[in-house]
Amino acid sequence: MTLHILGALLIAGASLTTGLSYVAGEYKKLNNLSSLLQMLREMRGELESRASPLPQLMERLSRSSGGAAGDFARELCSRIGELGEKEFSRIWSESLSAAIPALDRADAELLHALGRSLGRYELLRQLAELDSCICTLESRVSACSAGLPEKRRMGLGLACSLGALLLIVLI
Amino acid sequence: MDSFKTACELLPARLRELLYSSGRTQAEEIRLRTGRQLSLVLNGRELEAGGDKLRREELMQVLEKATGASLHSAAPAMVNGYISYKGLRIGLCGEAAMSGGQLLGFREYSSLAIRLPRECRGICSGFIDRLTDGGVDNTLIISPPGVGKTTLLRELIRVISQRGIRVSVLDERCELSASGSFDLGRCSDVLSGVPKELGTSMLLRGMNPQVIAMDEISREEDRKVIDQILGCGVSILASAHGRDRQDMLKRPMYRSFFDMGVFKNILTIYRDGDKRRYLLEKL
Repeated sequence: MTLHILGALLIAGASLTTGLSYVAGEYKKLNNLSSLLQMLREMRGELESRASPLPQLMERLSRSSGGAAGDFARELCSRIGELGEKEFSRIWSESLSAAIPALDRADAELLHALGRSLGRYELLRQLAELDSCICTLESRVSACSAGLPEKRRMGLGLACSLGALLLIVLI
Repeated sequence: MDSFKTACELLPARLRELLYSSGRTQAEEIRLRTGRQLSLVLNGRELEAGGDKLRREELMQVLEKATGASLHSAAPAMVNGYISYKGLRIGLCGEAAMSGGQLLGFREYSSLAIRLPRECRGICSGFIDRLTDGGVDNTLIISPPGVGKTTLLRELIRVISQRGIRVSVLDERCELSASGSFDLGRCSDVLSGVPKELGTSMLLRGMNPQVIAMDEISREEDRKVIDQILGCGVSILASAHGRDRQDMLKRPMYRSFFDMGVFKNILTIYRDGDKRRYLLEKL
């Protein structure tokens, strides 16, 4: 009987943990996107007002940005010395993959595409690319944020139901 | 300043190796063209350095290195067709992006020309005494592009300034002093990266120069710059593109300078095989 109770507790614990980690993953995804969005807005402002060179801009962002964006900016700054041997877009993409590996494929592709324009073209074109990227990210953040309570309920509910089902079957 | 070494720093590893292995450290220019081999200009002749053809990414790597991946920051200089990197001038060609008649930048790049500045001490020793006999008069250095106007102007500034004459150097393209890499003598003051018209006012008001030196007067706006200096008791040391004085007369701006007797000394540089010859005319 004691073993049955212990097993039941373990199953319940595992189910809850699965549900919670799913919800935490969703929160992390939202935080990553929000922090990247904030960084892109700052970049846009700096480029528009001061036409700052990208290495200085990323250096500043590595100090001012928190979360995933800060990690990304720091990673990029540490690799900027490779400029001349590698194209900036490649350094950007490698830094993104190294600093935020959990980024969704679609979000990552969006940011990789932005890296292919930054610093390469005239300012107006870069600002247009940034605007488009910011706009898409904003809609993703909104969708992510709006769907979060539902996902939380669904994730926890599914995990708990699955745990309960397992318990019934096993007991 | 070792401009060859600086240029090598600018290139990706494959091209750097090619350049080093060519051993042509006296090259005057490095030419990069997409789909062509890297080439070097030596004594006015262009020679291919061998190796594979240049890829578009390699051209971009050079540009990104030169601008810190920020071509937008170099936009003001790009309007004049070049960017600067540690005293090197990099000429640009490609598909331009225009708006309202203004150059915004380039959509695609197809060619780069990296000019390697040189310090050639003693090249004016054969005529410097005659040139400065009775003081430094307005002097114009004439030669076609790539023959050595900037090198001669740099050496003249150094020698004149070493003789205790205050020379204010208006280094619009940061090429004469190469950000302090070249010695321009003990009495020279360098104003870099400022357009000639604004720079001239600044120097006249603030530096009390005896001579103002500037490279390449060629645009109609430069006429105002010369007018600004004339009658101030300050001499002009300048350079211009042209084959010789007769060639310059075909252009209205220079014709008017000669008609007004603005320049008292004309220094023409000729190529003679691998050597340069200097002809000083006192008008």
